Amino acid sequence: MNDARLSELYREVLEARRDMPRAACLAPEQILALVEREGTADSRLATLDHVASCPDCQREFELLRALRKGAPAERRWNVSSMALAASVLIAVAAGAYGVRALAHRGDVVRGPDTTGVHLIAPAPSARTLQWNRVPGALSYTVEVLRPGGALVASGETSDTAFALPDSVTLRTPGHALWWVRAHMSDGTEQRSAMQPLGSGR
Amino acid sequence: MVRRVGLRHGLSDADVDEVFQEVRIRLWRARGDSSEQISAMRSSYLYRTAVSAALDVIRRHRRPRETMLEYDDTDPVVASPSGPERTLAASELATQVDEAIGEITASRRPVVRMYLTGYTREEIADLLGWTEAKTRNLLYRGLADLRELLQARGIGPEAI
Repeated sequence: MNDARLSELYREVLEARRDMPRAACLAPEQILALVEREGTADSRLATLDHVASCPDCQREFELLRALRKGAPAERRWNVSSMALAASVLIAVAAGAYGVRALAHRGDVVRGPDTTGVHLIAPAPSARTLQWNRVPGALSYTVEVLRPGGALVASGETSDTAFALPDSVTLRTPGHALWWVRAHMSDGTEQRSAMQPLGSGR
Repeated sequence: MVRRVGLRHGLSDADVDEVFQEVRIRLWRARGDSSEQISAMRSSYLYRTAVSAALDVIRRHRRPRETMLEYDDTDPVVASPSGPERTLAASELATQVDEAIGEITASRRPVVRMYLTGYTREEIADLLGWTEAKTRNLLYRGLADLRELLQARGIGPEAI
């Protein structure tokens, strides 16, 4: 049996294991230790053995490994300046773009698809925030934040409206932003875009 | 780059997007009222933030299934990794290969598994901090072990 056929059969086994209960799986920190080459050689081998036989842990491993690939150079890793440049690129992609866009356009933090949470912003003077009902949502978390990121007000509700506390003063549009996270019955979250407080559509 | 590396081994866009979204939120909050620009932040800090966000995303994804396992004792057969669902989904030959791999020496087994999953020798060597020569040696020995174990089960080179 050649390598390709063995590989095909082994992948078939992995596919059959996908989404099985994960009682025997490794802690995420153990997978991270493998990615960062922490711990003893034996423990890394044992972790790798599990990761290579568990498709769910392998997916988590890949996520952490992908981040590591773009991480800054460290003395043990001997990564070139190109990798450092790549990490800065990621920082820009994952951070700067998001922060600036949030502050100026309010459209970066988005729901996973168009069926997600959509804000129905109030008139500039109104103090009740409203959004659409998301099928399957158990509750909603509302957050009002300053453009700098500081939390101004937050609340959790099963309703689709939230009255701003008196401590929140409405000034010019854009002095604060708000968004809603819907907590779904399957344990996932759906998130709205972030929108300047006091602007409507 | 993260996306490209991840996609090579089956990571979806949604996985990367979720972590990136979490990172954006954390960085945005971490700034507070200071005027510090994200581009001026240390890259090691950004990496730790991304890792922390990824770990949280992983835990969040795991929770529903762990909870189900903890409270649902109505069908222990389904909860077993060696239960009928698996045998039905994987062929008899594939199951035999898996069992044979499980009998390979511990130092060679992960290398064989990673290789059969699609990782290159260079990637495996990098993960374990081994030289390429050592990795190649263990892989070849491990594959030879596997073929012997399969042969002992009556599965020879002619098996398809």
